[in-house]
Order: sequence, then structure tokens, then C-alpha cells
Amino acid sequence: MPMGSEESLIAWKTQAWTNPQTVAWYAQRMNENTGTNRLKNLVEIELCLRHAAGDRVLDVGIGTGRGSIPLLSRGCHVTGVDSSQAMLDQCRREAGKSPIELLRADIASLPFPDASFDTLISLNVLVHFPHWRGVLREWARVVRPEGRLIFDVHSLDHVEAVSRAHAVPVEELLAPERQTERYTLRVRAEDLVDEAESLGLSVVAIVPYAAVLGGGNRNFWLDDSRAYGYLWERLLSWMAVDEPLFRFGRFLEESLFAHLTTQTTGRFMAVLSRTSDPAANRTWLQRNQRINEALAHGLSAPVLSDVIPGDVAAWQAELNGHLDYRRNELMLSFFCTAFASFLDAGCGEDVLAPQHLAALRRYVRKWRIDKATRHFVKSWHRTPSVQEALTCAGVSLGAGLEYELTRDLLDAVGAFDEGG
Amino acid sequence: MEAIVSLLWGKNTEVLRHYSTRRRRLVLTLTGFAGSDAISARAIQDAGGSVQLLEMLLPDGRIEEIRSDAASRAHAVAHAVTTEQWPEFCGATACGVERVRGVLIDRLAERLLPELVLVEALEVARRTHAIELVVVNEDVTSLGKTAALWARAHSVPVVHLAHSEILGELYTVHREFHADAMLAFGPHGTEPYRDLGIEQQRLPVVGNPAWDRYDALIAQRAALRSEVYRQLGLSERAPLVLFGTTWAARLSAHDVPDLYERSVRAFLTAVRIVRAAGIDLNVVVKDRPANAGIGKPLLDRLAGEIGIDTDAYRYATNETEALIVASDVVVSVDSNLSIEAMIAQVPALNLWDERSWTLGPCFGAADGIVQTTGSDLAAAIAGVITNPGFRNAVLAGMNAQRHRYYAGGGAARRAAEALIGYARVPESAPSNGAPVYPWQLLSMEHGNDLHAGYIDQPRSELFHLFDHPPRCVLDVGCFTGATGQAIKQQYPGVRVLGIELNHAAAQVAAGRIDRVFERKIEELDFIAEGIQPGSIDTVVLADVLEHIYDPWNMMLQLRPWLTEDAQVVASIPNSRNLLLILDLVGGRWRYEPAGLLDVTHIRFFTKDEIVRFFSETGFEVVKMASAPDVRLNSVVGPTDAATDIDLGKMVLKGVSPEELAELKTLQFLVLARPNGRAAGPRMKI
Repeated sequence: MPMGSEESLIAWKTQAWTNPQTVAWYAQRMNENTGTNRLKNLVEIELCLRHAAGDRVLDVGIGTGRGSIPLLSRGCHVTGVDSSQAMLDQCRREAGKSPIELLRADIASLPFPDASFDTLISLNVLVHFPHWRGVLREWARVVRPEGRLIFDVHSLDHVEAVSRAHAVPVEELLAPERQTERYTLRVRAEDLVDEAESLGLSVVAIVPYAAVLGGGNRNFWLDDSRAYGYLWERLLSWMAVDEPLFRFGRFLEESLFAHLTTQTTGRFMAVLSRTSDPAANRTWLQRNQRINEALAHGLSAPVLSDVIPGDVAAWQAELNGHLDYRRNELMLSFFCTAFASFLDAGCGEDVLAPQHLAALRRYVRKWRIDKATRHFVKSWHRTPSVQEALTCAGVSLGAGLEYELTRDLLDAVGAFDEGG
Repeated sequence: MEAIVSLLWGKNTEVLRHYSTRRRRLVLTLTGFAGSDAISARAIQDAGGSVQLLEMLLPDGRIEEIRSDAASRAHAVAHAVTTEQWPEFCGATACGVERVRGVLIDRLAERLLPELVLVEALEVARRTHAIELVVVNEDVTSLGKTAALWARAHSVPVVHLAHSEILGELYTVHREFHADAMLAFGPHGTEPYRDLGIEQQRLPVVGNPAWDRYDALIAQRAALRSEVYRQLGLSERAPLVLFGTTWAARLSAHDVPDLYERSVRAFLTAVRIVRAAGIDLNVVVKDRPANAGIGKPLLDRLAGEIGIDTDAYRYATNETEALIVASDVVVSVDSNLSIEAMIAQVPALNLWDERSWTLGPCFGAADGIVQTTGSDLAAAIAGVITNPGFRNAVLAGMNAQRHRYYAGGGAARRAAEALIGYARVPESAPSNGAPVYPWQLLSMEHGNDLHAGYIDQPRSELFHLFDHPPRCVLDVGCFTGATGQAIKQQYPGVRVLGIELNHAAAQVAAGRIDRVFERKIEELDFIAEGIQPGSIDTVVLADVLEHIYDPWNMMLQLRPWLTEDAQVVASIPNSRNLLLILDLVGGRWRYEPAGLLDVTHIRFFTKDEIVRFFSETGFEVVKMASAPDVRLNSVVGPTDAATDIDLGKMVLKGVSPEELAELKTLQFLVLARPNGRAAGPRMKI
């Protein structure tokens, strides 16, 4: 952090939301349907609706109200705080005629007596701030015993697991997030659970998400795969207008990754209860750990049986149904280039219908042929004897041959043959 | 002289024209690229620049030597790879090692030749010119990449001017970046490079110079549309649907070999459905020029399969911009045509093929291009044509995103300015002596300068004219003696004398030939120098006569020292060159640092006048050959009959094949010998 102090980062992050342009941008994101916006809103709001308890709801950093306005229609009494009056004004407009209590306050210093609320929700707030432990203590104070805290953070487990698997230092992976304007709080699940326990809280659920949301929710597993960068964002953008693709994205988020671990996705929703229950906390951490270990060998039918609630056969049928739509199959193909070695090891054989498994393998195989061909055309002419024959005035003639050779080699290796 | 090396395509001539307006430079290029044909060369010259073909820097016959060098390199490679196994590649692709070996050495010499010619020509250019920039339209194909790597090797700035808006993934060969920068058409086209890790500042957006034409075309849309309708015989009452074909580049395993057929089928099927619904359509299928010979029969076959009459559509391979501006809807497959339609304010429909994603996605959902699949293309075409609300919504969506692909008109100027920004700053500013105008060369001291625009290469094409082996040669204007040295190598025992006024060159020549005299021929005391009358049997006059005030007298002075069977070989620029005449007709007679109007030329000859020149000075021309002007390669006529040559302002009537050959000559190569008669009245011996 270049600013040198946590305080200035907090001040900057707090201040940013008072800018009218930022407010307008955020309000638009709440309503507009571009990219994966609709999917992200849906996933987050579903989790709030499912886990909110009681009818006194406090929304911290309410912003434009996207997390709690849906609770109004359920009859909840919603109080919202935000450091930005502009945000509160916008929230009032978004709420329309529904009664909602709004006031300015700092997220770490709430103007409410202890145990005033049944549920505290806070979306896209803690992710901006480094002082999460102090904030959590304050949030726990205003929630009644047995009440709920629902909030999202980015996962440090995710980055650390990718760092180990890809042999890239964590600091290198996180370098872009170290700039003030891109600061992203990342927390380990274990640290969060330990802190929660010390505050007399227990885990109800920690739900991973943002496997295929893109944008600021980078999935580090996909680095160096085909599901990367602007082109992956372009593919994901079709969820805005392509309903089968949107439904598949939702299936992946809510029916697959939500049941996996904090290593698998870059973000998670924490649902805590203001109840001391160290045993529940240990149980949750052990489950997270156990699934992580199982996933080290890829996703298979036994792992799915362990993690997917309900009928796994029906779940598999639903997955294969989604893949009957070619764009979904292609999207998963891109995704699977990040997990090519799992496919090699037979992963997916007991999960996917044969034609879908074959399609994924075909895509990955072609992706690898491209990589191998590129590597080969660049390297074969660098052996000393060839290099000597193919150097003229310090210029590599072999480099100039690469274009034509690529075409010829792809033909020679049968890259275009039926079934590839 | 300061120069740039350009491998820009013809469509970017305007960029070179703007560059030349700002900076008078010699543009060094290759045959086939912008500047190598008469029209683009003229545009550059009119702007103050000049053009030289890189191949022409190599002496005649050198290409044949390079061809044998390519063959021996290919042979060495074939030998070197006999023991290689490449387990990694063969394992990953399940391809046999012999097959791989076969691919590597197949046509290798043929592939190496153009690269070798380019590198050698660039090396010559580097010695004779200050090269401030290399600009290419593609830095991954053979020549563009070789030029870029050569530039890197010599710390010459190199810029890649994009030749299309990059839409999809940079697969295989495209996953590299050799230039210092790529000038992009729009922000969308920079994204795949940014995914590759190229910094934004190396990807400045200037726009596409070839799209500068659109403003003018749009301004005359109605007239253009009438013209297109008339030329293609379209129905006045019906709207025009334009389809742009696509094809498989086969540079990624994900490519789809039958993409051309597949997409044409999808389009024609949609046409059949729309027509069956009672909507009248004109249909034009725009194919790429390379398909001109094969495209129409293939299209007709596919139409037959689908049940469409072959006269129910038209086929075109050029005038793309006019067709787009005249159209009511443009359908294409992940193509820049969609962007051109955006510019021309014509609704664009992208026909989605799964390749759009396997090698993309080329467009995102909010990128302003309507995506259709085979199954809804007919509905989309019908919607654009019959439903103004839909049509307007499509146009509004395109307009909202246009800035992501299109930087507006004036791109050629912006591109030229960007190139100037990358060009190397000259080591010496014009104030300390570098010439700005060609005539300034005249007052400069060349005595110790080896970079006077001449090339240290033998003129071996003149040797072919010898009718007997030379025994004693006088090379007048021998420069560094390269020609004499080559003669000595080819004819052991021969004695070569040279005359050269450039001291630095003469010093080099002195180490290569037997004697070098640093004085004018008329001041040379032959006897004192030990040269006997009647002893010289060969005279070389390589590009000399046109520089001398009184070449007639020089020939008279020479005559007594020559043997009776002496051979005089000369190369002489042709003043009856079609481009020179055309320039004169257009009011131009502009001196250049090099070429036909080299500012140091003071005498001018045509073929007939060369014959007269020798005849009047006691010689007869016995053999004459032509070095063609490659800028005129595109001017052709029948080989057995006279023809009219129409060059716009000038039309030449009844030009015979021999005359045409003469008009296309850059230089004549002449063999003359003493005619045994007394020369004219000026003889003063």
C-alpha cells in the first residue's frame, strides 16, 4: 500500500463513495444488465434472502440498497447506513414508496444500541477495507444473540492455493490489488472463523462464488488458460443477453461452486450467527479442508456425492442438459483449459455425458496442439547447427519461417481432421 | 541519404504520402508493396519523397547467387535435422518424426530466398543510407517479421501499422510482438494484445488509413448506389444485402476448414427463406480478391444445393467500400466488414459460427454488432429491411460503440505523424550539413565521402556483354573498384586500370585493382602513366556518360589508346522512360538524390541517341540490352501487335511491342566497338 497508513486507505475508500459520479455508476450497475452483473446481483441477493433471520435488518454501507430493498417486500424493517449522503439519496429513490430508514454513519462506528437487529447485511463493503477485525467486532455488537451477519469478502485461500499450484508467489499474484484504487481485502477462511469465534460468533455457511463472474472477481485458477483476459470477459458478457448461457452461469455458481471451498473461488459470502459454537466452527473448517484435499484430484462423482446436497444423478442430468447448448459447452471448454491435467487423469468420466466429455477433450487437445506447435516452430531452429545455417547478418531466418511452418505442421499433425 | 524501409501494403500509400510531405525521405520498399507500382510511387514523389526498390540495390546476377546460397543453407538444415527426434512435439501431437522432418525441409530453399534477398538488400541499404524507421503492415509473416527482426538487430525503430482490427484471439503465430509499437484502428483491436501482456502505450490508436475514404463515399451515397446497381444489374426496387465471405487461415487447430462453405450455405439459406416470405432482395456476395478465379463456381454449386438460381445473386471481389456504402444490410462472419458497415451507417449482422468463440469471441454482447446464428439470420435480415424500428435500434447500437473500433477520418495523417514520432532522430541535424534538397548535394564536398549514394557492388551485368575475354581494362568512374575486382576474379591475368575522383573510393579501389588514377580523363597523361596507344581492349562506363559535361570528347580522347577490337561496355539511363515522360506531361521534372533525374546528371539519352552518340565519336553499337523499370511492370500490351497505352492524361497511340519495351526501360546496357572510320570533325588527336 503506497499511502503508508491503513487510516488513509480507509479514508480514501470511504470518500470514494461520496462522489456523485460514483453513485450514479453504482446505481446503474445495480439495475443494468450488462456482462455478469445480473448474475452477481442474483447470487448475492439470493444468499441474503435465504440467510436473513427476523425482520429487523441493518444494511451497512447500504449504497443504493440492492441487498436490502428486496427484503422490504418480505415485510422486513430495513435500516441502512452509509458514509455517503449521495448514496443514501439514491437509495431513497430506488426504494420508492417503501419505508426505509436511512442515516449517515461510519461502518466501524454504528449509532445503535447493542443487539438492535436480527440481521446485519453488508454487500461489497468489507472487501474495500483493511480493518475488518475491528469492523466485525462492531457489527457483532449491534446484532442480537442468535441473529445473523451476512457479508462478502475476497478469498486469500484461493490466491494461496493457486500460488502453490502454479508456483507463482502470492505477492506477484496480488501486485495489481496493492494499488490504493484497486485495494481488495483478502481473508483466509480460517482467520475469519478464528476471529468470529473470539467474538462469540459461529459459521452458518461460508459460500464460495464468483467462479465465472469475471470483472473485478478474478479467478486466479484461470491464469494462463483460454479463460483469461478481455476475451474471457467478452464471452462472459453474453450472459447478459443469452438466457441459456446465463442459466448455465447461475448453475455453476449456485449449484456447483457454492458447495465447494474457499480455495476454489476468489470470493465468498460469510453467514455468521451470533451464537458461540466452537464445535460448528471446527466442523465447517474440517469440511472445507477435506473437500480441498478431495479436489486435489479433480471433480469426480464421489466428490460430488459428498458436496452436492440432494440427488446427484439429477444434478448430473441438469449439468449435461446445460451442456447440450453449444455455447455452454464452449464456455466450459475454455474453463477446462485451466484444468487440462485433470481431464487427462480421467476426471469427468463419471460426471459428464460422453459427447460432452469428448467435446471438452477435443477443445483442450486442439488448444494443446496449438501450444505445442507454437513452441516447436520457435524452438527447432535454435539448435546450434540449424541456427548457424539459418542466420544471416545477425537475423534469424528461422523466425521468418514460423508462419508458414505453423500452417504446414498443423496440417501434418492432422489438427483439422474430423474429430481432431 | 535518410531513408525509411516500408513494407506497407498498397492500401497504405497515403501514409507514406503524408510521411513524405512532412519529411523528404527515400522510401525503400520491395516489389509488391506500397511504392513499388507507378501510381503509388508517383503519389510519394509528388509529396516530396522518392522511392527505391530494395531488390534493385543488389547488383544484377546477385539474386542468382543468393538463390544458390538459399539452396546450400537448406541443404545444411536438412543435414542438421537428420538426427533430431523432437520427442516433446511428436508426443504432444502424435505425429511421426519423419513427417515433421519432411515439413521442415519441404520447399525450404524457396522459402529462404525472399528472406535472404531482403536481409542482404537491407544490409546494402544500411551502408548507403541513414535508415530512420522500418514500418511493416504485419510483423509475424515471413518478410514483415524478417524486416522487424533486422531492425531490432540494428537498433532501427520498427513500427507495425495494423492491417485489420484484431477481433479474436491472437492464436499461435500471432502471439508475438516484434515491433516497438503497433498502430491500432481502435481500442477494441488493442485488447487481444493487452491479453498478451503488451502495454497500452505500445498500442496507440490512430485508426485505419484505408477507412479514410468512407467520408467521401458516404457524401455521395445516392450516386454511388445508382452506379453499383447499374454495374451489377440490380433491381432498382429491391434493397441490397451484401454478404462478405470468410475462410479458414488454418493457423490454429481450432480453425474450421470448411468455414467458407458452411457460412455461405447459412447465408444463402437465409436468403431463400426471406425471398420465400415475399421480400424482394438484391444479393451480392463479396469474396476476397484471391478467390476471384474459384469463388464463383463454388458459390454457384452451393447455391444449387440450396435451391437458389445462380442469377439470383451477384458475385464481386473488389470495390468493397462502394458496395458497403450502397448496401442496406451487411452480413459477415467475424469480419472487419461489420466495422466498415458501422462507419458507413449500414446495419451489420454478424453470422455467428462456433469458430467465433473457439478463436474469439470476436465480439462481446455490448459491442454493438448484432449477432445472428444460422437459424435466426433470415429473421434478422427481414427485420432490418422491413421494420424501421428494428433497423434504427441496430444502427443506434452500432453508433454507440463505433468509437471502440473507429477513430474517425484522417487516419493516414495520424499514422504518418505517429511514425515520425517513432523514427530515429538524425544523428546530425540539417544545420550541420545533411541535405534537405537534392541540389544541396552539388555544393557538398564528396571527396572523402563513401556514402554518396553509390554502392560498393560489382556491376557484373555488364560482363555479360563482353564478346571476348578482357586483357586490359579501363574502368572510368570505378568508385571502390568492386567491378574491376570481379573482372580480375573472373578473368585471371587481366590488368584493370581505374579512374576515380572520389579520394576515399579511389583509396579502396587501389587495394583491389592494378592502378587507380585520381584525375579527369582529359588531364590524364597516358604515356607518362605507362599506357601505350592501342593497348586497352576493354572500357567500362558504368553510369558515367550522363555525369560528364563533354562525353563526346571523352570518347574521342579515349579512342587512340584502344585496340582495334576494343569492347566498350556502358550503362546509360533511359530518358524515354514512360514515368519520366508522364511526369513531364504532368509538369514535373524534379531532380532527385538518385534515379533517372539524379541531380548530378547533366546529359540525357534515348536509345536512338545512344546509337548516335557512339556513331558520331567513332564507335558502333553492336549489342544493347535493357534493365527494366520494375515500377512499370503493370503496364502491359500485346506481344505481337501495336497498342494504345492510356495513362490518364497521356495516351500513346500505336505503341509497338519493341517501343513499349523501350518505354519500360530504366537503363540501357550497351556494347560498342571502334567502327574503323575516322570520327567526326571534332577529332583532335
